[in-house]
Order: sequence, then structure tokens, then C-alpha cells
Amino acid sequence: MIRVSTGINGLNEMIDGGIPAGHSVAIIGPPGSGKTTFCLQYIWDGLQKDDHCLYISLEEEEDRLLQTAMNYGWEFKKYIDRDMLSLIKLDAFDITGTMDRMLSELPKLINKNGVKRLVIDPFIHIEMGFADDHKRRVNIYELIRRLAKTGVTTLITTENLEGVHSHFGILESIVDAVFLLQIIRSTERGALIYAFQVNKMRWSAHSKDIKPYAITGRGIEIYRESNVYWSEKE
Amino acid sequence: MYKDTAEGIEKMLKPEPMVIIEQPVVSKSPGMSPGIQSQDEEVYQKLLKEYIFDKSEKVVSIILDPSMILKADLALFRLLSEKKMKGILLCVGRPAEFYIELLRSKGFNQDFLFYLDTLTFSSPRKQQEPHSSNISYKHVFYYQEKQNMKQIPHPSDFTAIDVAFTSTVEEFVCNKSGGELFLLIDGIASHQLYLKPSSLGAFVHTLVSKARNWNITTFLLLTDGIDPILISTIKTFSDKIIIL
Repeated sequence: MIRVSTGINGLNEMIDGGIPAGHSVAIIGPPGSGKTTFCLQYIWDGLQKDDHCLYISLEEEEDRLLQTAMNYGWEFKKYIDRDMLSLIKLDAFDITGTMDRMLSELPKLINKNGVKRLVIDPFIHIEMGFADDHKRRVNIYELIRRLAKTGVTTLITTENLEGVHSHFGILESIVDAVFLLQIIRSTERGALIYAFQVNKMRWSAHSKDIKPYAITGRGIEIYRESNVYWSEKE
Repeated sequence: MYKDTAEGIEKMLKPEPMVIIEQPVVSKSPGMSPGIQSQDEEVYQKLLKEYIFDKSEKVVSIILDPSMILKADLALFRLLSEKKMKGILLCVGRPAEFYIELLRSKGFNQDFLFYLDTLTFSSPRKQQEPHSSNISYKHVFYYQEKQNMKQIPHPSDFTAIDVAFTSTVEEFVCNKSGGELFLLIDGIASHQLYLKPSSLGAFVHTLVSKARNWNITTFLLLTDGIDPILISTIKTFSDKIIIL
């Protein structure tokens, strides 16, 4: 089985070497937990391996994403110029149009350009756009199914406010893998600890542990040799 | 009765007459420092007698009266530096600067020691020490780093302690510094202020187990005031118990 490197320090060792090629992964976390950084790092890793990449943004403008990447030293612009990377901003408020485009045009674009790595960030706008859970589930299922047929390896970000489930609790049951980014107030004085966990990963003997991570100048780093501790006094 | 009161510490840090700190140490005993006092010598000799360096003994618990902590620290530093060991001091009871001053006043070469300081990050001392005045800090998310120490935001940040300890050991290993490594935890009693004994026991167990896996010898100073069940638990995973 071909596995796709995540580019995240410490993560590949937790997931059997990487994400199975063609699988879809939900990145679930609250605001500020590093979801976009995670995705940019995944794309940057792909570009270093000559993978064609596609980043669909439903929130950040292209120039903001490029600037965010540059803050970590990831110069995306030159890869856009070489047609190795496409950044596409879709309208998050036109849910019908955006979903139609993703269902019909996205697989064609992936096949045409030979895209190996795809990011959809943040997916919460799509999820919020449906009137009921049934339509939400059917549409998400159909999108993931069509993406899987192309063979692209996809990261999809979505939000949670607390707990381990995404806001709507649907995406994680459809995708192949779930990475959870948590921000925990772990001490009496309220200091923040960033904690990472693989909640699900099909076809992989993955770590079940919760591990500290950090958003550093080099991107996300997971400290898989360390543990998360909660400070609690009786 | 605690002897390490503010007055006691001040007295200890005050340079003693007849000791010229900057001069090379001339001693019959290798590593013997001129500032070591006679009662310190007593503790050192007792440790020397009790602790024979056995590579299978990776977790060493030293049970002592709280008033003996600094003397035990000094005796251990002397013993370990003489054995050419390098190590990490997890500062929970007292900040790193305290130990730096103490060891300097006793004429120690401090190259063998790296500090994980949990007490200085959020309440830094006035930057007046010559060794720290020109040092820029490198912030690394869970801690900040300078020269021979990592400063962790707070003694209750156990995750940060673990991350800082792990990265320090990795650096030691990567630098191939050679020789045996040790970890000394100076303040399990102080850590009790932030974690209930069972959780603290789990933290200590995890940390020393990790150290053991890396072939690091851990020294734990256990004093009155530490939960008796916690002390019993620590004894069960200690390879050697020394009563001072």
C-alpha cells in the first residue's frame, strides 16, 4: 500500500508511516489550533516530493494563505508559477453553487492535473449550508466518494468547540481518518496545552495516545515521545 | 526544623573566608572543591559509601530530612561530576539561578549540568548576572531556552516539563556528549502543591521510566512532607534506596 507522508514532524510514526494514498482525512479542531497550518504543511511536503497539489479555500484569500505559508518559510508562489500548486478560493456563502462545483468540476480538475494532494479548508461552511442533517450527510458522502475515485489524498478541516466530535458530527463518520487537534486548559492557572490524537484511521495500526504538539516557526510539531498531563489538585 | 531559611541560604551563598573561588582547585581528591564544608563532606562520604555506581541501578531514591536537601544536592553534584557524568537538574524547589550561584560559590565547574527551570520563566530575576546579561532567549512554545537551561512557564506545566526533558535528552544524544547521563529532581515535595499524589506518582513514574529507557540514572530526593503512599510507590520502582 502506498502511504502519503504528512510532512508533520512526529506524525508519520504514529500512523503506520503515512496516510494511505487516496484516503480522506478530517482535521478537527477549534479556532487557533493550527488546522490551516497543518494543511499548508501537508501541501508543502507534497511540493517537495513533486506532487501536484490543490488547495481549496472557503475562507482565507489566496494572498493571505501565501503570506501564512511564507511565515513558515514555505514559498508557495514559485510552485503556483510552475503549475505544481493551485489555490482556489470558493464562495462559502453560495452553498448550492459551491457544492455543485465541488461535486462536478473538482474530480475533473484533479484528474486533468494529476493532483495527488488536496485540501479543503474550512469545510464547516459547506456543512452549515444544508437545511437538514440528511441532505448534509448525503452530499458529504457523495463528495468523499467522488474524491476517493480520483485517488487523491485529501485533508478536510472542520471545527469543534469542545469535545472530540466535529460541530455536526457527520464528517468523521464518512472520511477514512480523523485527526483531532485540541486546546486544553491543563493547569490550575489556565495555561494552554495543545494536544493531538488520531481518532480513527482505516487500514492503519495507528497510535491511540494523546500527544502534545506545538505550532512552531517550522510549522506543526508533534512530540510523540512526550505525554499530556492535566494538573489537578484534590 | 528547616535550616534552609532565607538566612541560612544567604549564609550559604556568602563567600567563605579563605576561599578564592576563581583560582584553580588544588586537591588530593579529584573534583574536590575548596568550598565543601566538613558537614557536606560527611554527606558526600555517606553517599560515596552507599552508592556504588551500578549500571543496573537506574532509579535511586534518597530519603532524607528536608534540612539536608542542599547538602545532598552538593554531595551528588560532586559525586556525579567526579564520575564524569553529565546531567539534567529539574528545578522545582529552587530556581536554576540559585544552583548556579551555589555551585559557583563552591568552585564547581558547571559544564556537566543542564537546568530545566520551572520557577524563573514567569518571575525572572533582574538581569544582573554577567553570564546572562547578553543572552537572548529562544522561545520554543512550551519553554524558552538560553545557554545551559530551558525555562518552563510554571511548576504545574507537567506537559511542558516532559517536552523540555525529552528534547534536552535528544540534544544530549544527538551531540554525542558521551559518558553516563543523570536526572536529578530536586522538588517532588514542591510538585505536590500542583498535583494530587496519585497523578504526581504517575508523572514521576513516566518520567523516570523514560529516563531508564534512555539509560539515564534518575536521582529522587524524598523528604518528610511527601505523601507517604507516594513515597511507598516511588520506592517500588526504585532500584536503590539510600537513607541519609
